[in-house]
Amino acid sequence: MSAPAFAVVGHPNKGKSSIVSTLASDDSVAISPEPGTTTRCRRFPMTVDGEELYALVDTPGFQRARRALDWMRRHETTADRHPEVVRQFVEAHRGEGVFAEECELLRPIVEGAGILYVVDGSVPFGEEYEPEMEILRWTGQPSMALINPIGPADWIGPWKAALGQYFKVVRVFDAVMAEFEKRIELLRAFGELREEWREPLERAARGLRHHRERQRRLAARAIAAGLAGMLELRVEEKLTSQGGQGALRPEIEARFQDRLRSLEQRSRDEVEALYSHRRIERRESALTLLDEDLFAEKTWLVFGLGRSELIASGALGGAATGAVVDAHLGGMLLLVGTLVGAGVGAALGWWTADRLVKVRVLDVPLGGKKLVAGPTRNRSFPHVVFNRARYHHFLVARRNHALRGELALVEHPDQVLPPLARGRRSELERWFERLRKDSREPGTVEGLAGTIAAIFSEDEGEASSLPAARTAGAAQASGSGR
Amino acid sequence: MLADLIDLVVQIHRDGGQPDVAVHRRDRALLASLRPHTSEPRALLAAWLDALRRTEADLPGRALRALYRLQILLLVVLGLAAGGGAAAAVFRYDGSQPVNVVQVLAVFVGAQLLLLLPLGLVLLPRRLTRLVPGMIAVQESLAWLSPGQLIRLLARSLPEKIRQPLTRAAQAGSLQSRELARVRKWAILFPAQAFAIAFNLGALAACLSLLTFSDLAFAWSTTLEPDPERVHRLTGILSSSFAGLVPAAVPSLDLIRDTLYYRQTGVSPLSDPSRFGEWWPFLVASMITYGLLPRLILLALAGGQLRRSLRSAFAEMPGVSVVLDRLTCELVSTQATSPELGARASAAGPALASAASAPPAPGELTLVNWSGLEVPDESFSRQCEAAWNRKVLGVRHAGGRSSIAADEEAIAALAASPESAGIALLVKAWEPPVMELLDFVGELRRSAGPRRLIIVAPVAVQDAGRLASPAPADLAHWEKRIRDLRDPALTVRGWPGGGAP
Repeated sequence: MSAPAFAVVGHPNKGKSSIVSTLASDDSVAISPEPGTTTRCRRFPMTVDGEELYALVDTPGFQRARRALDWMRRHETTADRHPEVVRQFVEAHRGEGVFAEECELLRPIVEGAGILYVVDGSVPFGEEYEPEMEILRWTGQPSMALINPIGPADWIGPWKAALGQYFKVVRVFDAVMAEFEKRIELLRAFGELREEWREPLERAARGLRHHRERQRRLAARAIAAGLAGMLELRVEEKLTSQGGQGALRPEIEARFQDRLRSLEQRSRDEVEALYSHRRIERRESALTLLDEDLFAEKTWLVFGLGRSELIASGALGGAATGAVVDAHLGGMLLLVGTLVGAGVGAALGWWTADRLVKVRVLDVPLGGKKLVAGPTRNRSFPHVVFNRARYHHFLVARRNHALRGELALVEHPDQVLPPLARGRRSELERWFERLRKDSREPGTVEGLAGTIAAIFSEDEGEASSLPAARTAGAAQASGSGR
Repeated sequence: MLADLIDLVVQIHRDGGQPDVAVHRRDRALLASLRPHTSEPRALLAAWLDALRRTEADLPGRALRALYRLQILLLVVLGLAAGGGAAAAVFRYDGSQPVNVVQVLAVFVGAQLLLLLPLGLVLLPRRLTRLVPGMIAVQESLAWLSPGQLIRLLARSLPEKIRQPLTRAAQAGSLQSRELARVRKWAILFPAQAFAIAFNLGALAACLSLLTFSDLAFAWSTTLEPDPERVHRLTGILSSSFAGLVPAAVPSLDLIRDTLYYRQTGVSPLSDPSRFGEWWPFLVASMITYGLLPRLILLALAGGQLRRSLRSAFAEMPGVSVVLDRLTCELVSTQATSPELGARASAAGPALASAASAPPAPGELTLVNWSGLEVPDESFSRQCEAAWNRKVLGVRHAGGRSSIAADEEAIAALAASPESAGIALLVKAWEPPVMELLDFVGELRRSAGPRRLIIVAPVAVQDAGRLASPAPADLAHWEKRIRDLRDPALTVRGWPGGGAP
């Protein structure tokens, strides 16, 4: 048995493409307030490991429904022949310009697709819809009507009354605002249209849930890795003998900030790509450093040793020399030779470090001073970065692909995000502390990612109980109605 | 597992630059070819790598593992030769001067114990070395001196195809992870211990061979104060670890006294020549205890730690969890497999007929209620007359529930109305202009003649059937669509701000 297909049909500009875009999580679907954007059928197969479980078919809107129905009525014999008449209509007019849209949208239906008839619940029902619904009824295919309220006005009641006469199942589905669980619920409702469709659609719903969990895990990992990168970020610049560090400080601080921001933006891009949002324009306040002295002056040497390394090497060399003396004296000095040797070696290392930086070989300095910015040690910094990332993830994960326009991250996250569950804050603090100590310690980034994924999961659970907030400036999928 | 780890690092680095969907699809397909498979992560990763090797011929793991084994073999051969050579030199006895016990101890015990010191530093765990500034750098420098670095030289012999993925991963910093550093440390130390063991075995073999097939005379000699009692104490300390096992290997004070040797005068004339051979059990036992045994223990330690570090690196390597995620999670795709075709191109028509360019405004109008605007005819006429200050001759219905025949009748009646009277189609502004309406307009134009003014008036309907002006966006859609028809006598008017038609 082939996988079920669902043709999303309706009057032009009633949000068919928005519904497809949301259900298929595909922002490549052209959505425009201008009618007639979709001119050809486009298939959106839902596959799990390559096996197709169902497909959505976006179709152009009816343009000459009354004329098409007129043709069908003129060829009508008995009710049982209605599906055949529709098929004849498609065959008779295939390739013709007059009924191009009708043939295009009816083709998948006569081939066996179920019908998802989409109307705009924010404009009144009108008699011009009746021929469309009548043609769809003639096809004899399982059907469902979806009322997609594009604008603020509420005409859902009259629509339900009218649609109920043509369709067994009528549901309200806001393509722009529908939560993930609503989408899954709708998908399962498709399975109720025909007995043999139930099993693949149940499997599809399970697959989508697992996919959602994976997206959360990968997003958490991207954020944790970004955070680790930000917490170990260092920017350094060698100090020349001419200029002091005063002039360099603002420049290095700006570079440090830029690197931080680019790390944050990279993690934002990764999260959006994971949720298949490839066209989002973000508006977000820039990440700024918290009040902290980032700078330290250090010594550098051409052979890669810093002052501490030089002192340690000196101490080791000295200790070895002292140990030889101890050995020759048969241990009579009770390792005093080794200890003195280590001390003298360390002192030499310290003394040499300061001298070496002034030595020049072939006019190339052997060492010098450098100004180092970072890594940041402010305890609040990772919390600030995480809260910004959490807010972004919260909005991206909830954002439907039918919603176009910019993603504005301007509100205070605390007003939108559910409060962190008990213990999560201290759990995060423990991971941040480990990152601060050693961001490359095996398991730290993964551990933090696990905590973040758990928080995201809780966010999603609680988000479904929050009122949906449209992102500021987001464009609605279609023009407003009356 | 070494080959698997190297391939894992290289593949993770490669996959890092690929879209998740592409590598997820590849990995799920690979996994399907492995069924029935295990869910144990390490076995799963190993199976995945095996499957990948069939498609990615340039994974360098197996070549490097072979090289690593070759390195160990070479080091063992070198160690045997070096140990045998050193023993042949130190135990050289031509009958003129006895073999100096001090030399034997210095080379095969002292030097080897001394070499254990830097090794001990290298073995210090990271949590300790982190506490001493510079210790990590020292550790790394010492590791560079290990014979285990021979592999770097050998690696140059690898073909470019094998070396390239490794070089790329190294350049991207993928080989710099903490997990790999731990593996690298033990992977270098392990062959070094094999070399040391081979060295000691070579030395012991040469020593035993000389003892068996020739007569050796041992004595001790030093420029430093030759105090037999102090030497006896020292040999007592050295032999304490094997005295219980081999009591004959503990040199007595008499033996030490009798075998003191001065190059100028030779040995004491009172000494029994057979005593000069009595040193060998002590020397062999010392070589085994202080040369061979520590290295055997270290080899076992390095081998165990290498396996442990390989196992933990395999599990904790950055990116491994992503690979496991791909392998264990189904690949779900919901998106279109073909690109969106372009929207209908809208021809840019001439500017919409304005009041100035349109034919003279007629004094009368015939109205068309298109698609059943819910306004009674009488109210419809009255509102239009009031809004546009023109006399309405009548109201016709078309579109919506009307039949095509009814539309044709309406067109015929409109065409028959006085030529001076304009025709105004009032349409629902919130609905898009569909082809059905445009067909009607086209038919009307053909029947009514090219100069008859036809007005399309998108309107909104408020409560109680009151007509109102449309939303600007709706009006704009209508204007654009009608303009595309390029009919100078066809115009769009809003309600009522559009002015009198």
